[in-house]
Amino acid sequence: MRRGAILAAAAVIVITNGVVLMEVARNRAGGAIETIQLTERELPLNSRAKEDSGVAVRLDWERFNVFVANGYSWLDRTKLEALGFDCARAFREPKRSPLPRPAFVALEYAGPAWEQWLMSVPQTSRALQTEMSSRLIPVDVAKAAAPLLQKYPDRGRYLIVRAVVQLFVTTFDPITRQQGQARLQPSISEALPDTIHVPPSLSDALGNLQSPTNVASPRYTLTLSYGRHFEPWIVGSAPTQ
Amino acid sequence: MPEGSGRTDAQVRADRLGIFLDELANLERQQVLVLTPEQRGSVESFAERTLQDLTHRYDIDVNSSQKQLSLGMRIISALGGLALCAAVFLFFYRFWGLIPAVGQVAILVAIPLLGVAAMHFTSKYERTLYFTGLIGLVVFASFVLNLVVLGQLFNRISSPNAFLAWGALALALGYAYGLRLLLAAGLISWMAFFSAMIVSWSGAWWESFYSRPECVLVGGALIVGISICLRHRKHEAFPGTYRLIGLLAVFVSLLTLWYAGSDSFLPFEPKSIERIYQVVAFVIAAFTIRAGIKHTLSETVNLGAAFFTIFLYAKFVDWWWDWMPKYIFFFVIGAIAIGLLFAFRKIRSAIA
Repeated sequence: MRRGAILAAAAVIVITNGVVLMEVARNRAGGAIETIQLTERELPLNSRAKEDSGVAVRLDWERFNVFVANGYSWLDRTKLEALGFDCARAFREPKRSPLPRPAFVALEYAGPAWEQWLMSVPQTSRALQTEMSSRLIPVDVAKAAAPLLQKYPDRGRYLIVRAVVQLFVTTFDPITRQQGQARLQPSISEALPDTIHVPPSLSDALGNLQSPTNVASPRYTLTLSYGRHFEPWIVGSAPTQ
Repeated sequence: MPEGSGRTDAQVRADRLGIFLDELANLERQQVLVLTPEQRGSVESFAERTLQDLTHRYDIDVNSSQKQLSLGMRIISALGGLALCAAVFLFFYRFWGLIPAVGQVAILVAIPLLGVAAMHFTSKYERTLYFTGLIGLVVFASFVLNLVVLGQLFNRISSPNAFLAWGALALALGYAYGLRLLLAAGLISWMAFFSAMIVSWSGAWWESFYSRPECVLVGGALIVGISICLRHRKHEAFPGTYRLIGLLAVFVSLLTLWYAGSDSFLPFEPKSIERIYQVVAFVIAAFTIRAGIKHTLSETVNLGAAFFTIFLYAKFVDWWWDWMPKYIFFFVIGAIAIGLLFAFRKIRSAIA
């Protein structure tokens, strides 16, 4: 009995690791389905504990702060309902927020959406707000990846990632700054995975850099690939010239 | 059989023998029963032989000092295990950036496997299983570290399946050696997996399962149900751990829904949901006390009574806190506590 249980415990460890490594191999099998070069602006160093020797970056995108009244205007009721949100119920019961749902998001890199966002930032705070901010802007969302990959074929401009979409109902109007009509307030709360590990062999470009505090321009460029499960890995790194 | 029911039975027998000898000495002092020197010698030598035999075979506690020391050793074993878990985590994070990926994976897989082998080895040389339990905690923590870091290394999207694997390992080791702490870790892991799966099936992101306490409530109820259906002949203490984990999950979920009806799956007004769960909370707490008394499960009675009292006080706060002067509020609470003491005294006499 005891011997069987111990063997079962060892089997759980071996089989679980085997399954994880097999899934990793399957994700990368057949090469990357997306590869894009991004800078420190989009992939800032993830803050780490003093005694953590690992290096990781996090995928950052513009989250639409107070300067943008309607950053997610494209994420309308039809799209939200396609993701599975019950918008009618959300309006009926505004105090009961629907649970966040997984989705695929198309992020546009330094394109028209970013230029539009740049214009919406007041002139006085533009330099402060934009010099190190991410140029990735969410532009579309879907339940599956295929329609987005088809709709946005430029792999150097668009990045399709897994993400979590949240939905609230609010009566606050960001333009008038007053209470108004109830409206849906969706947001992309998290990219999956939210941090990306930089392997030791590629972390030289990042060296002993610390998380950016007063950095004026990006210090490195990373090449990021995504596999068939939309799990990323870093394939190249270089210090910015 | 050095663990499980064998050791428990041996401890019960030793305790009974100790009480018998004490009572015999008492009877002799009061001249109720007077043994001849031969009879007394025979009883004492039998008791001594039996205790020596039990101590040799099962390493039991033969007096109260030993019992207290054993309790202290159990606490040290748990705390030491937790400290070693932290050490394993911090040690790995300190050096993992300097090791190539293959080496990292090899270390991550090897640590829990070596731990399982170490548990097997130490269990052969100790009957009380303090070191085995301590290593068991480290094995569980290193397997958690294993999957977390593997996910970080290869940028995997988080999945509730990790809880399934952690639970399976903890339960396998818990049942192999009769370790209740690992059993509890396994039950909590599987409860998290079950709750996450319910949320995931509804189409929502699995990590939001804690936002719907009903998922945890159902998981807790299932664990209590298993403790009733599953017979534990070898590990007699295990049903108590099942009940503790299951009932805690049920009561904490009910307490959350007591105040947060909007976090429920039920399609009613949040206030109505809160009222429904307040009634359900009282009924379940009362039923737990009744079932505990009926089946002489003292921990279950205590847990039920504790939560019944918490629910009662929560209701009093809801009703009276805002409008009643605070000194009257606490006076009423005190008076009710005295009333409850009288009620329980009557019930106690009736049971006797």
